[in-house]
Amino acid sequence: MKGKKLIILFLVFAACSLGIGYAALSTTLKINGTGNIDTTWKIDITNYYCNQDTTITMSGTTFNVAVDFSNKSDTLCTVAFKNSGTLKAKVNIDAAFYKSSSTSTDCPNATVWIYGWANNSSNSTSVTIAKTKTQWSSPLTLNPNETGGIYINFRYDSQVDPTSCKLDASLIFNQLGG
Amino acid sequence: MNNKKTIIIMTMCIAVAMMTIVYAALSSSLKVNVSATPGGGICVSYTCSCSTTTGLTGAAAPSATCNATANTMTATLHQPGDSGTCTFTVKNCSNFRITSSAALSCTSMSSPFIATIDQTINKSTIVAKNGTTTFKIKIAYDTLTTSQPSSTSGTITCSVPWKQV
Repeated sequence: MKGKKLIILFLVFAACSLGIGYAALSTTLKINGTGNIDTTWKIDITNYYCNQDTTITMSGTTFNVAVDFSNKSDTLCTVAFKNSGTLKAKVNIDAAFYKSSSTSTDCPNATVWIYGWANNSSNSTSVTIAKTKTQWSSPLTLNPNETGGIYINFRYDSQVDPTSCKLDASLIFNQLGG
Repeated sequence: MNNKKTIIIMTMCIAVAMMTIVYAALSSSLKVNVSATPGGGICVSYTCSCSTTTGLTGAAAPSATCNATANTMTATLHQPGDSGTCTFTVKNCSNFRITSSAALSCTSMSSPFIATIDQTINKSTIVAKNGTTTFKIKIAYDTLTTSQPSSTSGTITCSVPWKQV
């Protein structure tokens, strides 16, 4: 009986020693970090449409337009956007215009210009789009709460028979200071 | 009589054991900025300092602060590319050498935050008595294009376990 008690006492003291040893000889250091952002980055595509029964397909900031020129006249499209955040935005376009049947072939009977505007047309730029991706050399600047947009002018050449053409494009928004 | 004494002794030992276990369980979240413990026990203390870098121009500079007692840092960022970096210096105020039993590990931060850790504390880093070692936590505001930040606040937790050599 005495032997049993001694064993129990020994075990209890062993547990005490282990706990004290663990607490005294080890510790975990923890650092908690927090990052806060007090600005917002938000560009909204507010509208997009074409005339001449032509459809513009929009997915996020990427869009495409198929033009067949069957009416032998220009086709006009518009994409409008707004800077709903608190950061200035730099806006560019990356677009290619090609024959629908071959992305490596120029559309033989038409040319397309994309005009950009921002801040009530005080800042605009344009570029002639070819079969390879093309960007504006001078991107637009869009201030917070300002609206902007692009006009796409598909120009039909009456000297050539109509041919279906396609525009693939993406709007590129980058953040600027302020 | 003997039985009574035995019961009293056992009760006291169990009480001490329970207190010790509770202390051990809570030791990972105890303040670490404690004074030296004469005669034994791990003692580490922190000091820290912060700096910032500005990403895009044209707005207020970012800020970064740290608290060596609470073991926290906070970075307030305005522009993409802004960052705040805090350097924590760990001082071994024990009477013996201590070693990190695992490398410094940190949780990840969600977009648009990018956390960078200067891994000067690796597994088996040994700090002599009164010696120091440092590590840095950098929180940056990632540059974005069309995507919007999923959150305007992000957190990171870094930890490193130490033990006596």
